[in-house]
This record gives sequence, C-alpha cells and structure tokens, in this order.
Amino acid sequence: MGVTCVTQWPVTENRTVPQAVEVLTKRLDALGASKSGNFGVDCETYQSVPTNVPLKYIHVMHNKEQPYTCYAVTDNRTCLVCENSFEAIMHRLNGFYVPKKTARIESKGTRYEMGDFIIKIGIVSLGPHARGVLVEVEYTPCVIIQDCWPLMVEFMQGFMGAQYTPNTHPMLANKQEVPFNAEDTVFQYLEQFENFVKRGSSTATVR
Amino acid sequence: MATALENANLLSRAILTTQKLRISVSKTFNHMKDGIKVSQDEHGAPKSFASQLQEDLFLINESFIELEKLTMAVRRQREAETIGNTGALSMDPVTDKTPLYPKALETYKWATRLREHSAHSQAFLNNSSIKRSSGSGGSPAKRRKTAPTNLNISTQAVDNLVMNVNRQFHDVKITKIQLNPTVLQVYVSRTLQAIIVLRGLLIERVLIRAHHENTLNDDGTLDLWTASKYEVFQKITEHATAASLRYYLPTMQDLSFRSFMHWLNSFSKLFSTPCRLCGKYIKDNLPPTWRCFRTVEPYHECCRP
Ligand SMILES: [Zn+2]
Repeated sequence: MGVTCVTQWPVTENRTVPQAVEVLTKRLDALGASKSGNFGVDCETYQSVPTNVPLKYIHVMHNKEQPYTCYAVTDNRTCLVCENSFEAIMHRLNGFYVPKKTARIESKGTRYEMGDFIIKIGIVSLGPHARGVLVEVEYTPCVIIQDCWPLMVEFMQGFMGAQYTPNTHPMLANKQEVPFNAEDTVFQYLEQFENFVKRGSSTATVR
Repeated sequence: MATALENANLLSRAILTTQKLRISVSKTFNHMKDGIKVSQDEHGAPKSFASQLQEDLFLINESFIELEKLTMAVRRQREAETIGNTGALSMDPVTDKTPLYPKALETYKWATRLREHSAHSQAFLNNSSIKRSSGSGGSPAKRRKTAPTNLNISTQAVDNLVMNVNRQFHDVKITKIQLNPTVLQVYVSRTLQAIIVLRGLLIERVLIRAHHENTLNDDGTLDLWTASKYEVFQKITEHATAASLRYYLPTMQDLSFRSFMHWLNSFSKLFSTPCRLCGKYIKDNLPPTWRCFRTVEPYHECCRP
C-alpha cells in the first residue's frame, strides 16, 4: 500500500453532514474520479475494569481494505495486527477489559480512484449520530511519506480548495524514513476518532 | 464456380422462404389478437377460429420445414469449399468438437493481414529512416553484417560497466540478476526499479516498476513482462523505451549505456521535484514523468519543451 493522509473536512454551520459530503463528491466527479466501491473503518474501545488503576484502553479497529485483519491498538500506540477472530478473545477477557459504552465509532463511505490516487470520503458516526466527515487520500506508487508529501498536499488542495492546508502528517515527524504500512493508516483514523469523541462530549451533535 | 452459383440460388430461395415464414407468423398472431370474421368456406359451413388457427399453423410449419431443408443444403455446400490441402482438415467427422478448420482459416486471414501490415510499415519506415547511429543506418543489409561483431562482449565487460555505474551514481544500485541474456535490476534511490535486458551492452528492453513491486513470478522465475500496476511507472516505461532508442549508439555501447543511466538517475526524486515549466507536482494525476534528453530536467508529458 502507498502513503495515506487522513484529514477532516469541516462541516460548516449552514450545511448538514451529507451536504458537506456532496460538495466533495461533486468536485471529484468533475475532476474525473471513478467510483470503486465502498469502504469502512471502525473502532471499538475496551476499557480496563476499574479495579485496575490507572485506567487502560484497547482500541480494536478494522479497515475494510484489509477485511480479514484486526488491529488492536493500546494507548501508547503499540499495535497488534491479527486475524479477525481476535475480537472473540477480547470478549473472553471481560474480567479485565470491558467494551466502553457507546464507544463504537466508524467512518463509512465511498471509495474513488483517480490515476494512482485513491480517495475515500467517509461520514463519521458515533453511535446513531453523524459527527463529521473524514477524507483519506492514498498515493499508491510511493511508500515513503517524506518523498511525496508536497505532492499529496497539492493533490488534496486540488479538490479540497487552495486555502486548505492539511495538518502536518504525524509520520513526517519521524526522523527515520520508513516505508508506510497499513497500521499507519489505522493510527491516523484512531487519532481523528479520538478528536471526534473528545469534541462530541462538549458540542451538540450535528445532523 | 457451379457450386457457388447453386449456393446463391439456394440462399435467395431461403430468403424468400424466410419472408414467407414471417408473413404467416405475423398473420397467425394477428388472427389470435383480433379474432376472425365469421366467414363461409366453399361448402357454406362457418369457419371456426380453431380451424383457422390450424390452417395458419400448417402454413407456418410448411415454410419452416422448407427453410430447414434449404439451410441444410447450403451448409453442405459451404463445407465443401476449401483452400488447398487444408480441405483435408474439414473432412474430420467431428468438426463441431474440434473446430480445426475454421480456426485454420481464421489464422490464415490473420497472417495475410499481418503480412500486408508489415509490408506497409516497412515501406513507410524506409521512406523516413532516421540516421540514429553513426556509420550504420542506411541499408539494412549493412547493419546486419556489422551488428553481430558488436555483440561479442564478455561478461567481464558487463561486470566492469555495472561496477563503474554503481560508483558514478550514488542513488543507483545495479545488480546482475540473470546471465544469459544479461538482465540487470536497477534500483533508483527508493523511488523505482528498472529491469533492463541487455544485448551486448545495448539496451534491448526496459521495464520500470515501483520500488516495492515484485521482480519474480509466483513460481520464482524472473518476470520480464508484467507491466507495473501504477500509471506513473507505465508512463515512465514508455519514456524509458524512447530514451533507450534516443541514446542508442552501437559503435559506442559503453557511452550509450552511461547516457541512459544518467537519464534514469534523474528519477531519483520523482515524487518531490516539480515540473520545470508549470512548477506543479501533479498534472493529470501524474508527477513530471518526462525528462529532457540533454539536461534531464523534469517536465510533465504535456509541458515538455
Ligand atoms: Zn508541468
């Protein structure tokens, strides 16, 4: 897999979440992107039982791009990549870790292709509520983010608007220039999801 | 000739019969749709709907049987038509199972077309021959005479060249992965890999793939044919093939190879160098894939000078 960048597409005051998605999909259509199915990334958080202090979390995540794989991420971003059946093990551990209530969050939507780029526009929902929009852009021929970051920014500005500047990519801070892998995408989603959860407790839900 | 005439006859009769069949079918349908007027036959008895339908169906059946007979006759004639000795193939009683003869005819047609095509292209290319290399060129006979002597290059020479190029370009790593014919694998920084097939020291074929794409087939053999799955490297493969012709110098093979490597080396920062003309990284979803043959400056394919 290539280099990915997961970023938030702001839902402005006067728009609903589906309307915000429509703005993007219309632009992609106009640029000649072709639809190539659906995608989904979900995350379920398990919390250590209160007798265990301090509280620890395990995030169990799936990416439809790797349908048979399950990612279990701890707080310090240790990632266990394993078979899907891992979830059954988590249920067995319910003496130590229990699913956090209403903490299943996911981003689901349409996958587009444009040359060597893959664009995924997903609606983020926490429980029954749509919370916002996440855009994932993947540049498939390159696996080193330091090599193609300006190119990706230029591409994203191409359809998200020239004023759009993505946050500095977490992988860019990494001094060692290591090849990108699937966990790096999952980490980015987790970080965005955590932002949504944090914000979700303070602001009213956007529908 | 006689069979052909007979055939034409049969065919025109078959067409007539088909028309007849269609007329009677549509008449039947009309009768069924609209019903029939109560009329009297010659003996004065009223004609019933059932008897009318029976009559119609009888007509259809009749024309159908006739048409079938005609078709059989025509087919038998066609199979008798053969080209030379290949006719023996069509005598195979189980033609339906082994369509050898129709396949042979198809192949023959293809071959004829291919020959015509190559004759045309040869005539065309002769008119616009480019003197790409000093000395040879001009007459093809002369080129054929000189070429083999140039190709007697020892493996030692290839190894020396590989070593020198490795030393000359920091971002390029060449390894010899097959001996005969010589196949080189070239990694250009961490951006791409090139599979180069050599004849002597001349480049016979170049294939560009992503750095992380496979070089071997699933069964472990060397894969010299599968193109990259990425558009950007398919495009660069095209340009690389053009470059290998551009730098083609049969009399100075060493220089030819080094020039090509110099060109290829310019892709080491493919994803992070903007186009010289428009200053952008991306155009038509591709980075600048074209390189000036003299200065090796990067351009988009549509921006090139
Ligand atoms: Zn350009």
